[in-house]
Amino acid sequence: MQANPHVRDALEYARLASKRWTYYRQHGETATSLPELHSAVQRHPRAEIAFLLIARASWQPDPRLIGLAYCRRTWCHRLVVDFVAVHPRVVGRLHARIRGIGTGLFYGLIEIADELGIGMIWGEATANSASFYEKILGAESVLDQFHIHGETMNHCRRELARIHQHQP
Amino acid sequence: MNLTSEADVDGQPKPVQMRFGDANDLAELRR
Repeated sequence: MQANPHVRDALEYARLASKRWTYYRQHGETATSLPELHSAVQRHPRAEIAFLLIARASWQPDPRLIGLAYCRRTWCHRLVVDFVAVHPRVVGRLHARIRGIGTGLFYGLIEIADELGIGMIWGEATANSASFYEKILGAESVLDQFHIHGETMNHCRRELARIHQHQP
Repeated sequence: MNLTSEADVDGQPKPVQMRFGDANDLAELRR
């Protein structure tokens, strides 16, 4: 399974995210809920706060973790996406072919940004992920970085609204 | 705020729940 570059990326991102989370946690610079993030920003408007957004397979009786985004709210009130990892067993298609996890996480980040009044999300794109960002952002070409703001953000909001329309 | 999305599982749309996580979730990602 590790021959799959996306599986290798997922394992590497999980390792790096754990390391960074521990560092930020030790410095009291993490949030584990939206109210916690809100209040951290209100207390220290220029604080850099790390948080994790996780996705669980809620169609399963015991919903397993299927993806995770490691992010930071920066001192100038933007969101940086450091890592987006889909669980290696999902990437490796061990049980079923599951698609749309990364997309869902990004749309979740748009909702969080809107809640916090944040107008830009940015991050690094790798050779393996650039095409993913082109697709979800409706962008013609993404090189080694992506920026979600303005019309790109509106595009993601419309896609999210379309998904919610189909949900019971 | 209720963060939900949708995944395509073997061609069928399925609901995905999102929430803030912690170190336990990171450990689960590595299992």
